[in-house]
Amino acid sequence: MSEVLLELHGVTVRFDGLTAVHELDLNIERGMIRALIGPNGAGKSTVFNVVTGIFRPSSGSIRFRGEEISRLNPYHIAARGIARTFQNIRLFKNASVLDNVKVGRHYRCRSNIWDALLRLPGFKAEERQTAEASLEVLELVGLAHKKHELAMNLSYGEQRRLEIARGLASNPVLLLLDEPAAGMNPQEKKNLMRLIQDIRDRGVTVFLVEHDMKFVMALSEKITVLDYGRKVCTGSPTEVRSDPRVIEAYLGKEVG
Amino acid sequence: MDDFLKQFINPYYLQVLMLLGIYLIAALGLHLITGVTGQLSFGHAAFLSVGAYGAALLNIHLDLPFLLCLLAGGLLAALAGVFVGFPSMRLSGDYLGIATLGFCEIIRVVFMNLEITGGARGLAGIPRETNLLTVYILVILTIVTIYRLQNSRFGRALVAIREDEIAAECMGIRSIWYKVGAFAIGSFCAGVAGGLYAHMLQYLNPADFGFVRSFELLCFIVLGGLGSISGAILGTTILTLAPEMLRFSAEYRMMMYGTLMVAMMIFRPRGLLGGVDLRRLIRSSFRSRDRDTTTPAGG
Repeated sequence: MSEVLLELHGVTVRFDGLTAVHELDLNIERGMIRALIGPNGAGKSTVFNVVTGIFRPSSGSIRFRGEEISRLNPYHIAARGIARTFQNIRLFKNASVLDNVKVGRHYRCRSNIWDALLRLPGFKAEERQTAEASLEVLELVGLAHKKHELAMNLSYGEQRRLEIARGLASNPVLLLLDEPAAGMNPQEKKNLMRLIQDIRDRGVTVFLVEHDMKFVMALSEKITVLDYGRKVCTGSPTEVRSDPRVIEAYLGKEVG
Repeated sequence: MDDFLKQFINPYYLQVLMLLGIYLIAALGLHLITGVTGQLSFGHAAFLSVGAYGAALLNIHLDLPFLLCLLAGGLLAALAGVFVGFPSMRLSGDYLGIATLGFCEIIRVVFMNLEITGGARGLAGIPRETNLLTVYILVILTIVTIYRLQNSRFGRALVAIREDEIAAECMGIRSIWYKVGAFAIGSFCAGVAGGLYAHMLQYLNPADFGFVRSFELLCFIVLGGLGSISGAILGTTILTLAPEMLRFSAEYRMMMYGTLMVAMMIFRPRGLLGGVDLRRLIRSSFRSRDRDTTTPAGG
């Protein structure tokens, strides 16, 4: 049994009358590709938003490497090593591809306003290092040749990959991917799958939310199914696929 | 220096050139707040007036050296920027615009009613210390400062906040500090410009720092293209010099000024230099020449 990286215990998120997530228990072990699936409106993105500090849980605890993070702000959580992408791509559209990734390295750098004004050797060294590290990540996702392009001019699939690069740039411990394959064609999906495996092999734990069942089943080692904010079950792809509750909640009744 | 120049240029035009430099400094400050960080501010004239009155009063009453007065005026304006920044940073977009507009009016009314600022009669008797050389040295210093800030970790964080604040926070950027920082630096520029303004005109009146002046500064940077330093410079230059260039048309002057602005917004809605990156333009024109010679097949 490997180390538990992220631990959700009894997490409930309520918006006025609506309970988006109800008493969710979830463990994410280090070094895995972990998936969260469920029909539309099951509360998957809410789980991501609560883990990254955009929402506060109404009750329950979230521990990351043993530390309670459920009351922290997004920037504090990012600094602890959790990076993410968004379901409805949130790139810095009017900035260059390279600058987008450089922003991902924000908390890895230390330079302040005075360094920027005086441009001492320390500042230049850090800028050079930032540029090198950013280029390396861009190469990993295959966008290095577009580094001077504006982010808004990239194709949909490229924008998704750029978001992953931006998240990776900070050398996170845990990477959350919110529907990374949405809107991609089969070839792009195949490449994305290989990319996510590469990321896992570099020692980053991946936690993803996805709609495409084939994609999730082929990629992840452990899957949790969510329905109406409640956990239906957790298990390996084969276990989940054969679980009658999942079939009923998510895949619908078997035909023929 | 100015006496020397006066042999060649009409003193009135010398004054216009100085005013242009002063507006450039103020507009570059606003460029950092609105253009780079994306925080709509209708209150820039207030920071200008804080710097102007601050510097002038220090000079009149304490007889401090001119440059020290400018610095103090800038710092006072920056302090005002932080003071406005913290509460209003919970607001965004149009709402922030309204809040800064309100602040601008409050400052104007305060200066209108204080004894020490001369109230509505205005403040006279400020020594004339501003000259063309000082103004343009400060303009260059401001350009270098803003350019360096923009091309650094700090500047990238500001752009990230403009583009998507939630995503920026998820990248580890503590947005409120950066927004207040941008406000402070932008208002500092305005404060210095105000000090120069006071020591050029030798007379200050609260009515000069109303909403119209704030709006004018906003027009400068929007017309040139939001987010671009060269755009801010171009916009300020055109809109400051246009009323002078249009003098031939006598009473139709302001009408033509207005027409000019409408036309520019129709033909270049993102501003004259909006979406144009001069560095990239130069780089790509070089690269395309390389490609022509080395790889004729292209790719």
